[in-house]
Amino acid sequence: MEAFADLNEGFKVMLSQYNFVYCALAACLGAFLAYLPGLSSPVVIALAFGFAFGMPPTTAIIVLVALCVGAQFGRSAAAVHRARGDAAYAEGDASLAPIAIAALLSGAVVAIVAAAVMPLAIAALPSLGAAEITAFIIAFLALAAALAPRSVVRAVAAIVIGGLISIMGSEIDAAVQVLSFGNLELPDGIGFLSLLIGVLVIPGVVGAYAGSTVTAQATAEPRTPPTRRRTGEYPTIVTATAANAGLSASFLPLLTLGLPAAVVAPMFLWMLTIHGILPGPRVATRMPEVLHGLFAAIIVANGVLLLVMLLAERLFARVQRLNVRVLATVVLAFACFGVYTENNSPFDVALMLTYGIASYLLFTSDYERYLLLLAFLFGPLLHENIRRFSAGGDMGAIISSPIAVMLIAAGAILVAAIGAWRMESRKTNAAGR
Amino acid sequence: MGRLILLAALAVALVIAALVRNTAARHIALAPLVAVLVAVATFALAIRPLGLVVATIIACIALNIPGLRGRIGESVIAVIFGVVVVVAATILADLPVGLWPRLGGL
Repeated sequence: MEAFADLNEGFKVMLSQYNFVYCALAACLGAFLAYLPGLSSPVVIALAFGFAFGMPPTTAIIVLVALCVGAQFGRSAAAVHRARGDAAYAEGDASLAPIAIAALLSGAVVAIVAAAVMPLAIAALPSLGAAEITAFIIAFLALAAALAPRSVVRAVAAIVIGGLISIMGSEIDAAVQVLSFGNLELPDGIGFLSLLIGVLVIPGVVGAYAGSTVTAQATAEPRTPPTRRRTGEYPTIVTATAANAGLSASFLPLLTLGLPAAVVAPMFLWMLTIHGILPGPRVATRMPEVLHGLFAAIIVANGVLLLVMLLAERLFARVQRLNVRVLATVVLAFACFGVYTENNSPFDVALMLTYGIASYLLFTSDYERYLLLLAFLFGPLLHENIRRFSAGGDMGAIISSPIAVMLIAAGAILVAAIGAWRMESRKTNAAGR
Repeated sequence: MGRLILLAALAVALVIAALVRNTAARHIALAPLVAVLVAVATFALAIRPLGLVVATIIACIALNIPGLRGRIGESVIAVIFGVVVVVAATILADLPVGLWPRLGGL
């Protein structure tokens, strides 16, 4: 019953201060942009991210959640559209409403379950100190690198580069400049927006132009011939439902533990941080309206998308015919504009370009790019906590905390298990050939 | 200083080695990459003296030059859309960005 009471509070939050209007608009914008050919959902969220900057914390989180839900839906709907073919839509013989209904149901169920589980998860968490947080971050990043789908070495490199970029700037306590190379702009540190857009959007634009599969899978995938039997759509609807439920569920570890379990998590973490909210058990006690609003936003955004699908489905389906080159040009112009207007600084645009080119050349998957962004966000937190527990420069102090030792040991065991499993599967694959 | 140079040299060597292996393993689209590089660099250089509208037009043209042959109409539409989107965003959000060249400030 407590879950329903929390959701009720969430709907109250949703109905105040135009939150509902923002939520509906953000869901539609996210779905529309992700439905466009050649734009992946992280690129969509990175582009629209700047809109939520100046909003109050609860509204900003609601907008971001609605954007994520909309983008996830748009991506799933575009996949189903491709499976059916354009002709089915032109003849009015196909509908995207089943995906919207499936997304609404899965999102609502997971939101209710998450709202019920959240208080239990928070009560079960022990109070964590600097050593425990350090151990947790190290174990988490090691685990994330071990799970890299392609190259573990590249994943580790992404984490190291992200961590190094995060500590660039001025060390306020010690009044020294770190990795600023005498540059006049770098002592202010690196802005997250230029890094985010550079790392995610620039490779997307290059990929869209080249027709490659960096983030422009929609343009590169061959379209299936028109079909009225819709044989390929059911697996896609199931996948869409699972992806939507997974997105909703990923907010639980993110908010209770600060554990980024979704690809959009770096953006969420940053948004929470700039509003002074440290993800963790204290969010529920200090800013309960953020939690309640978040779970209500998942349900409202899915409901709005279902309405949109019922009312304007054909219009939506025509979006797939837009020209990728035109879209890529608009996206790049908007990316440059967005990064420049953050500080009115051409230097930020140059930084975005540098990160973008490096990201395109050095990384082969979006997973590695997310790891870089995660390391960038965790870097200052790790730096701060290492300084707190090793006041005398003694890193061995981490062993004095049993929880920290357990966390590191658990991380090491999991990394070793994943490594052994990867080697085993590689041997099996080699033997199969 | 010497250590910094050694470190930078090591980094450059690693990047070149990685790029050579990467280029062999996957297709790197060089022409679009150069077009994006030129477009964004032009935007960064032109935005202050020439204003948002001209900088965006130059950047969009630079981006569309590699595939211009036979696609002039498409490229013109892309440039127009690009400019309209950024100008609309500036006006709607009431951002303090100069839209036109600063003739007196040059």
